[in-house]
Amino acid sequence: MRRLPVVCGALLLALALVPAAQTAQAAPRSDGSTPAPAQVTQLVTGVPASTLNQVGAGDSRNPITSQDFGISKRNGRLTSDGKPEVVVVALAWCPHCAANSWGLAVALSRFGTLTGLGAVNTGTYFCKVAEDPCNLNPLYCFPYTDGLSFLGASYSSPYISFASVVLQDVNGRNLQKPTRREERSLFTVHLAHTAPALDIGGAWGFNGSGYDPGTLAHKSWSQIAGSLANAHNRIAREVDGLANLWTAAICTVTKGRPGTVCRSRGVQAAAAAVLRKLPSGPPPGPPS
Amino acid sequence: MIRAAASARRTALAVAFFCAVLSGSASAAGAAPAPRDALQLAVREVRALSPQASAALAQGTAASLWINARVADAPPYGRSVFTASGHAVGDLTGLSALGARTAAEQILAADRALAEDAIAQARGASAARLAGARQAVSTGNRQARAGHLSAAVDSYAEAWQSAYAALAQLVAGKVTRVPSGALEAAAEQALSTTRFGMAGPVIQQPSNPLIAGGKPEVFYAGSEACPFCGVQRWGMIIALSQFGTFSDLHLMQSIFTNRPQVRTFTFFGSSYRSAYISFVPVEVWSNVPKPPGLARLQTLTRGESTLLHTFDPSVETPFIDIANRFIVDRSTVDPQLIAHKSWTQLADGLTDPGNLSTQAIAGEAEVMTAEVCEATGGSPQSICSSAIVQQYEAALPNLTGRGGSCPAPPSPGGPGAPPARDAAASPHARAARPDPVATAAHCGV
Repeated sequence: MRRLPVVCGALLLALALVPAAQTAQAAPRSDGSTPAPAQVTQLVTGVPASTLNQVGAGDSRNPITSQDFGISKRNGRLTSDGKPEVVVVALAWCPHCAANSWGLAVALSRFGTLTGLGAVNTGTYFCKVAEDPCNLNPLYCFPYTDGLSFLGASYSSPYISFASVVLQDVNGRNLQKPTRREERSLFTVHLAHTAPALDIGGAWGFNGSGYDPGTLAHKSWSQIAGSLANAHNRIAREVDGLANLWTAAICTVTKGRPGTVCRSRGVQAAAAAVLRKLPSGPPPGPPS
Repeated sequence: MIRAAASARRTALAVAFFCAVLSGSASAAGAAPAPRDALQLAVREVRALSPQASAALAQGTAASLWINARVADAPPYGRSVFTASGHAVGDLTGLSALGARTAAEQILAADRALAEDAIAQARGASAARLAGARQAVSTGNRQARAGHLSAAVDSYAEAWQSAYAALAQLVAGKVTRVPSGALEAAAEQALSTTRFGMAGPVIQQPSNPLIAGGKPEVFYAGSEACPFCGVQRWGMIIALSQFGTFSDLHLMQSIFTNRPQVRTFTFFGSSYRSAYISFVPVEVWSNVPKPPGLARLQTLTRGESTLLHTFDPSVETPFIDIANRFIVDRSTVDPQLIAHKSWTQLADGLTDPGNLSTQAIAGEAEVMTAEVCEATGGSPQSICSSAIVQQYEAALPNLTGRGGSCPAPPSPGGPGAPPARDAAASPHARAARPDPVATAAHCGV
């Protein structure tokens, strides 16, 4: 797996841009998120297949060449309830995790039903921990990025199981830990001690952000969700492109099921752009 | 009529407040809380009475404004403590509740203690300056007795600022005139051991020299907030003082969130004259947090930025280019070596070659002196031909210690190599610090 430091993109968002009105009515959950508005859930989980086909690999980062998004291919096997398990590890304050959350929700929705999603705003905690007073570059820390939280969400699918681990809440307080089984698998796909991380059935590991969180600057949950069906929209090209890549990776562990999804043009395009280009020999990037 | 009566009542209350302050401080002088603690007590006291006063005081007690509970940041940043106090007593003056009275006592006592402590720290400084500071404290006491509480706070602030000006002059005087015998002895000790892990410069081929005003240029890019710049400035000032004269050096401390916090100087607002070299310092960041980062102090010119990116693409500080002959991209020694010491402790220690901080600073100073002597072609001879400088010139290529510098930028979201490991793998390995802030930034599981 490629292990290179990320360069965060700059976003200096005004406090006034936090869409407080959307969070005010719902009680916060333990990671600082609130239940996602029904319309947001509906838009994210119902991105038209035609849009996804049109986007293909889209404009998301290619993990083979990107310094900020990594991929690892392994021969591990992570299952739950007799099905391949997808595990996401995130921090509620991490804007990179927020960026990835949109693509993951879209991808999971192609294999089953996702309910109880949360809406999370990453706030400024990352800006505090990312500060390097000795570095002369401006601090790029994507404050107040809107994302989705899988904490407490339910997922049902005949093909895969899904587990979410939210390590810390929006203020950096410890919240959840992966199980020993999940941790072993995360280690296998080189995802130990990193976030955001996505383990797909012990066969694929992804870490880093699939696109620049700056894309979501000044955008509310509704605006982000509302853009996903437009294949020409910048956010859709990044989120849907990432969703197609992850869908393609999930298809490899579901053995191509469901065929309508796994054989779709968008998923095939993403697989061709990334998964099939990976060396077939020894997996890249042994851990050091 | 009613307004006049109310005004008289406020004045009477204020007078009563200050009498209580004086009698209270006299009777319980030994147990007086540290100034920041006193202000924090006042915050709690007035929370219900005056949200405005409470909010103002909360700003004044922010961790970013204090070195410790007894010492506020040096001017100009520490001045915000008094500004907050002034706002708070202004809000409290019209209130008659006992809590308001207690809080006002605590605020005035805290501000007066800050001023008196600064005067005590500056003992030995210019008598005239210190007399001015003491005079301002007396004025503040009189104003408080007369019920002019905001004016009293202003006077204590003036006293504190005058005392710091005296302290800066005193400390700068000691640093720019270190006895050569003590400096050489300490530098010899530093060179004879590996305990300091001194980092040498990256040595460039002597082509395309950096020149300004017809003299070799020493270019420095730094950040007031950075502890590595903080330790480096001590050695730089000693070294450069051998080639010229500094004026208007101000005291400064690195930012509290990045340990170790070190007390140092800033080059911002200072000037330097030399017959041998041109010194161009740029302090890019202040040590004042301004979300999402730090407040900017100075901006690099396009040429300076090109220089920096050419020699140090990671743009970590301190960055020092000595006439394009030597590039320094980290501090020569670890800032831990001067941590937890006041300006006067560090400055007074410079006459003691057995002092570890002194040895570290002397080592830094002689490394830079040797580099500058190479750049000037050995001028002035009185400095460059000394045995210790010759020794350091010969040692420059062999200084392979880690020195100190910030770890690589954090990479949450990135493919996650811990910066410490990356740094260790790089050809110019930097000293990574086990810092909880940095650890959190790596999105550690």
